[in-house]
Amino acid sequence: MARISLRNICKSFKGLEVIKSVSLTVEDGEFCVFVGPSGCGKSTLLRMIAGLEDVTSGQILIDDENVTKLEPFDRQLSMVFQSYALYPHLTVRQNIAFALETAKQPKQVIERKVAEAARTLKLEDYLDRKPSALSGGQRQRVAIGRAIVREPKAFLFDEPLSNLDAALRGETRIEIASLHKSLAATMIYVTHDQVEAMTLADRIVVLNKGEIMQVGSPRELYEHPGNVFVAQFLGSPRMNLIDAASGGEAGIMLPGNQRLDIGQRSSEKISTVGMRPEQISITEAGDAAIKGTIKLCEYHGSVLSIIVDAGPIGDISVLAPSAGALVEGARVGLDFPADALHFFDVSGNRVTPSPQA
Amino acid sequence: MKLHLILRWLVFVTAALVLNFPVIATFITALKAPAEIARNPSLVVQNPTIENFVTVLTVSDRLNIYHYLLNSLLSASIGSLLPIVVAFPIAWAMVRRGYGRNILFPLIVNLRALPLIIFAVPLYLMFSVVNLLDTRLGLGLVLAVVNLPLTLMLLVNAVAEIPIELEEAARMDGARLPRLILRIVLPLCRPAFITTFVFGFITAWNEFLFGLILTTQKAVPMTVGASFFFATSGGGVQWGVAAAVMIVAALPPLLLGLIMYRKITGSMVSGAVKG
Repeated sequence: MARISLRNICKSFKGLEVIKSVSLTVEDGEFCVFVGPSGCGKSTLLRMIAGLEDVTSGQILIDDENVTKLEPFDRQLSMVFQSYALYPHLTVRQNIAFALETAKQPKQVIERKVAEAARTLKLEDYLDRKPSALSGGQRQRVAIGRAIVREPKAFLFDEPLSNLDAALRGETRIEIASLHKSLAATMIYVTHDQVEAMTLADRIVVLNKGEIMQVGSPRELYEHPGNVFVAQFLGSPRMNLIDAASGGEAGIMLPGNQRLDIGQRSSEKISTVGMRPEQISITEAGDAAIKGTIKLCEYHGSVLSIIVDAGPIGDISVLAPSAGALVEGARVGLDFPADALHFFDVSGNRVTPSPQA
Repeated sequence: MKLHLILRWLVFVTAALVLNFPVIATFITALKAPAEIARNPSLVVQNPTIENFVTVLTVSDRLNIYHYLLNSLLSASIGSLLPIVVAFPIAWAMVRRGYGRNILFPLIVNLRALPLIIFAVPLYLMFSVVNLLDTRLGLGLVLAVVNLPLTLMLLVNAVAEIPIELEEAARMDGARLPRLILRIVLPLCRPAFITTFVFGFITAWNEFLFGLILTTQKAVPMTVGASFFFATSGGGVQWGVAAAVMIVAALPPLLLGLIMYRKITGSMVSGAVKG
C-alpha cells in the first residue's frame, strides 16, 4: 500500500486550464474522496494519478517515487470504472485473472486469488459467465474483483456506483467501505454524490473549477466549511446564505434593516451569513430574529422540508420534524442558536469573528 | 390468418424467382445438351444431362478449371487477408492515436472512387520490372490494394466501436501495447475481420480486369479462365458449357457467404460497459 502525493499538478486541454495547481497528499491506507460538481476536474485528476491522462506540469509521487512520466501499467494502481469496462469476450474468471496473467503469475496462485476474490464478492456462481449475462450489480462486483486480486499500491474508483439503482448503490457502498477496512488499502474515490463522499471518506477533497476548495474530514467540512462553495455543496438542502453587513456594535445587519445579534464578537469582515436548514427551528412569529411565511412545505416522511419566504432576506429552507402542524401560508418565526451561524467574507472565505476588545 | 400466410409466401417466391432469374436460367441451361439449347428455350429441361459439367470439370490440354480455381483461391486469399493484416494496425493507430485521421484516411477510402483501369498501365509496367506479371502473388497484391479502402473503413469503425475504457482498463491491469492489442482489441474486432474477409474475398474472386491484364497463363484466375470456355472448339459459343462453368465459378464465394453469414452480424462488445 502506498502514499500518493500530488505536487502542483496542472492540466490544460488546448489552452483551457482544467486543473489549476493542485497539491495534495493521500496517506497510506486512507480513503480519500474527490467530490465536486460535474466539470470540476475530479475525474481528470484521478485519471492523471492513474496515468491515463498526461500531466501538463507538476509531479505525481507514489511512495516518494516520481511516477509522473510512467505509463499506467508501470504504476501498479487498480482502477474501477464508472462503466465497469469489463472485457466482454472473456468470462468473469478470465476478467478477474487478466491482470494476474499479465503479470505472469503462476497458475495455482492465479486460481487461488480468483477464488478468493470471487468468495469475497459473492461471484462464485458466475465465474464461467460472460459479462453480458450479468446484472449491473454483478458487473460492478466483477470490476471490483478485477481490481482487488492484483493487490495494487492503491485503488482508484471513478464514480463506481453512479450506474446502479438506488438500493444497489447503498449496498455496494457498504461493501466498498468494508473492503477498505479489510484491505486497509489506499483508496481514491471520485463521486459527485455527497452522501457517498460523507459516508465513505476518511478525508474529502472538494474540487471546483480545477481547484481544491477544501480538504478535511467529512465532519470538519460539514461543520466548518472553509468557504461558501463547500458550505453549499455539502448538505441537503443546501445551507442558507444571507447577505449581511457589519452593524458595528449592534451585530450584523441583514437585508431589510434586520439586526442579527452575534454576541460580543466583531462583525467587521462579515458579508454573508450561513445557516444549515436542520439547525433552524420554526417558532411563533412573535419577536423571532427572522420572520416569514411558509411558502412551500414538502413531506419527506421523517422530516418536513420547508421554504420560508422571509421578505427582503429571501427564501430560507428549514428542516423540521414532521410531527408539527405547519401549513403553507402560515406566519412563522425562525429561531437558531448563535453558534449555528457560519460567517463568510466578501470573497466567500470563512471568517471567525473575534471577541470584541 | 391462413390467407395472410399464403399471400406472404406467394410474394416471397415470386420475388425470389424474378430476382434470381438469371441464375436460374444459367443453371437450367447448364443441364441441357447442345441440341436442346438450340431447340428448347423453356425453363423445363426435357433430357437433363450433366454432360456440360463433365466437360468443364475434365482437364483438357488447353483448359484446366482446377488450375483457375486454385489461382483464384490463392490470389483472392492474399487479396482479402493481406489488407486485414495491413489495415488493422493502421486502423488502431488512426482511431486511438489520431495518426492520419484527417488526410490519410479519407485519401485511402477515396481510392475506392477511382476507376481501377487508370492503374492498369503503370501497374503492368511496374510488375514487368519486378517479375510479378502472371504470378498469383502479383495478382493477390493488386487485389489487396483493391480491397484496402473498404477493409480500412470497416476496421476503423470496428476499433472505434470498442469503448476506450476497455483499453484503459487493460492498461491499468498492466497490459502493455502488444498484450492490449492481442488480448483485448484483436478478439473484439473478430466480427469485423470476418466481415471484411468475406466481402474482400468475394470482391477479389469476382475481379476480372486485373486478372485479364496481369496474367497470361500461370496465374489466370477463374473469372478470366471462365471466358476461355466460351469458345472451346471454334464453332461458336457452347452455351451449355459456358453456363456450367459460370455455375462452378460462382460456387466458392457463394459457399463462403453462406457459411460465414451468421458470423458477419453481431457485435462483440455487449456487456462491456453499461448500455
